[in-house]
Amino acid sequence: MFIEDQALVVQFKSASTKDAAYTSLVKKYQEKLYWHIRRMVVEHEDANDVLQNTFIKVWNGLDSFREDSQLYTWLYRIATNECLTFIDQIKRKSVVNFDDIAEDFSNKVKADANFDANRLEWKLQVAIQQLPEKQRVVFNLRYYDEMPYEEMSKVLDTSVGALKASYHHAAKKIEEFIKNS
Amino acid sequence: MNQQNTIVEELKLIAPSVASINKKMPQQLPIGYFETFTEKILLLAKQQSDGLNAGNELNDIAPLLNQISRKPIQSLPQGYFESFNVDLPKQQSTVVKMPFIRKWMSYSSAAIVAGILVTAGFLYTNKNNQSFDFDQYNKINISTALNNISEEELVNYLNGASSLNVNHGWLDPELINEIEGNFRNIGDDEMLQYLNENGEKPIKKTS
Repeated sequence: MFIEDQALVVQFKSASTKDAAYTSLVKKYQEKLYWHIRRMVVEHEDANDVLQNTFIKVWNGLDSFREDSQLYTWLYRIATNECLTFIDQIKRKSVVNFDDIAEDFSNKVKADANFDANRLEWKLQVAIQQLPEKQRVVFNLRYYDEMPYEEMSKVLDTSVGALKASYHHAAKKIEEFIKNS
Repeated sequence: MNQQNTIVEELKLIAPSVASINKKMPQQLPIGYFETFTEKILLLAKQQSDGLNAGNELNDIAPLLNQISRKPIQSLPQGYFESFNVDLPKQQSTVVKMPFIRKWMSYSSAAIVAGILVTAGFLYTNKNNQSFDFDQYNKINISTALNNISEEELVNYLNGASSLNVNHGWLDPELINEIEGNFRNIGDDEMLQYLNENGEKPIKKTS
């Protein structure tokens, strides 16, 4: 049974229970954050790096967490920012344009040992990689993490209306891609 | 559950074919990944924060210094590090001059030890030589000395040494008595004959 988020934050701020609170927090959110990150960066090794960076930032910043939003919203915000930073770094290192980057991530999906082009789940993964990263994040948070738009707005610092529009476009693009593949 | 239903309904309206796809992620995860992740990340976070503490410490002491960039502002000659090389000087053994007193103390210690050894050696060899004055004994002519001794003196000597004063633990007393008896039974003529056979000059017989 996981401890309530509020209790975790309080315990973390006390020196005697800091380590235990942090351990509980990591255990509670590691899988959710891992898959959120992996849907963005595709490869496990990259997801592992980004996940570690995320939790290190949590360790450094949780003392000053203001609790004006949900803890999980704050965690997703950090994880998403870390993903976008990672993708930006790839773009800067690469000389190819955005469309090629999208293809690059699609190829990473196809390079998976279990990839099966005939299965819809794999086609969906490839299709998601065709989206611009912000749209990709919106779709993933709504479709996989079932996050309310209001919480998503805090994660992405974007208005609810813009998020709804973004999600609408993302879903349409994916459907079209799957139908055409 | 309401939220989930809302999302499903929403997607059915936008992209019905996407709504029907199984949501489970097809990618695999390394076995046991999450079992060790928590421990590792705690260790990493603590190690990383030890590095950050240096910055926090400065914030308390002199916050202005933390705002100044640590990037070096001096310029560097172009290609400096590419051609950078360290000429290590050859190590020379240093000669340390010994102090005067210490020098002479070491000399005198060596001299004393040598003196002791020489003296001990001399005393040892000298002691051995004193018990045997071979020159002195070489000068003595035993035959001549015996000729100068009178028969009366010899008889008196032999009577005085009537018993063999042999004190050897390993000699049987019965054997000693036997030897003494044999000497008493030997006559003078037999003694002279023995001496002639063995190259000894007999003592002149005096009547």
